[in-house]
Amino acid sequence: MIMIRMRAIVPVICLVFLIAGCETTGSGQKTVIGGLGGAAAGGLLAAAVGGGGTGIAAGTILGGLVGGAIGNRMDAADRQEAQRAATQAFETAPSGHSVAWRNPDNGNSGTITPTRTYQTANGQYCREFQQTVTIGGETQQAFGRACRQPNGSWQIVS
Amino acid sequence: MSRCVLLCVLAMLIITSAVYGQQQSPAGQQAIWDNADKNKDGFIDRIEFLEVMTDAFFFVDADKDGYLTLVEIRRIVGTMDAKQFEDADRDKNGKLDIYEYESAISKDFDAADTNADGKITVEEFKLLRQGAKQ
Repeated sequence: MIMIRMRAIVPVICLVFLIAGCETTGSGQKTVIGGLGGAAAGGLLAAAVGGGGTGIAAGTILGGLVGGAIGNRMDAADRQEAQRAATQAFETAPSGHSVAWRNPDNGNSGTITPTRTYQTANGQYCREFQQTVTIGGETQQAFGRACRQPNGSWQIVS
Repeated sequence: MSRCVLLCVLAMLIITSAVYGQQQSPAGQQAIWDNADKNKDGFIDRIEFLEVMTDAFFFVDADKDGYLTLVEIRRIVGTMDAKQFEDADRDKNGKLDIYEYESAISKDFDAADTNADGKITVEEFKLLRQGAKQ
């Protein structure tokens, strides 16, 4: 008789423990009205690290990415590599994360690092960025802003 | 009797491993933290939080129209309570602009900042991330 009762009770006890275990998840979270909620906020934080994925972005860069004397020393292949890296950085890299480029033919290289993302008053996305360019062993650093055009290209605005 | 106990223990082990399997690896958690704690002072302040969340807005906005829909958010974060989205969507046009979004996530920052000192600690961050797994 006792054995039969135990058979009935044990699964119930197990269930209580399981439910109690589930209930403790997320304790300490305040419920907030008007927020997106802990689940969404946590997921968005993770999304910011993941960026826009690792694929090569297809857009183009409008305007001069690298100016000045060092820009004049870049050849067509350097510019192509730099533009490819810039497009990828603007489309997919979280702020603070660099995308590097390198021309294997001459060893020239550089990095593009978005530093801040914002929207203009008309909803256009812009990203501030920092870049380094190393030509013939000489490295130059520059800052700029690029804004995304409706067709997916990025216009260098400063 | 002993078979029943054994089955229960087995079930608990399977469920526990499934729950832990869903959790982000410590390396993943660290990457999320490092990305948000820009000045590396060991805290995420409101400015850092808003900056990283603005990055997220850009990445989650799949069609790059400048707004986030519930579908776009759910595509990235998995589940999201529709009621919370509606509450955040103050002009009730079915999408969040950057101002509605910043207002909402600012409230999420306040909720995560359990001791209200204006910054999120590692422990508060863990609680926030636990919310992401619910």
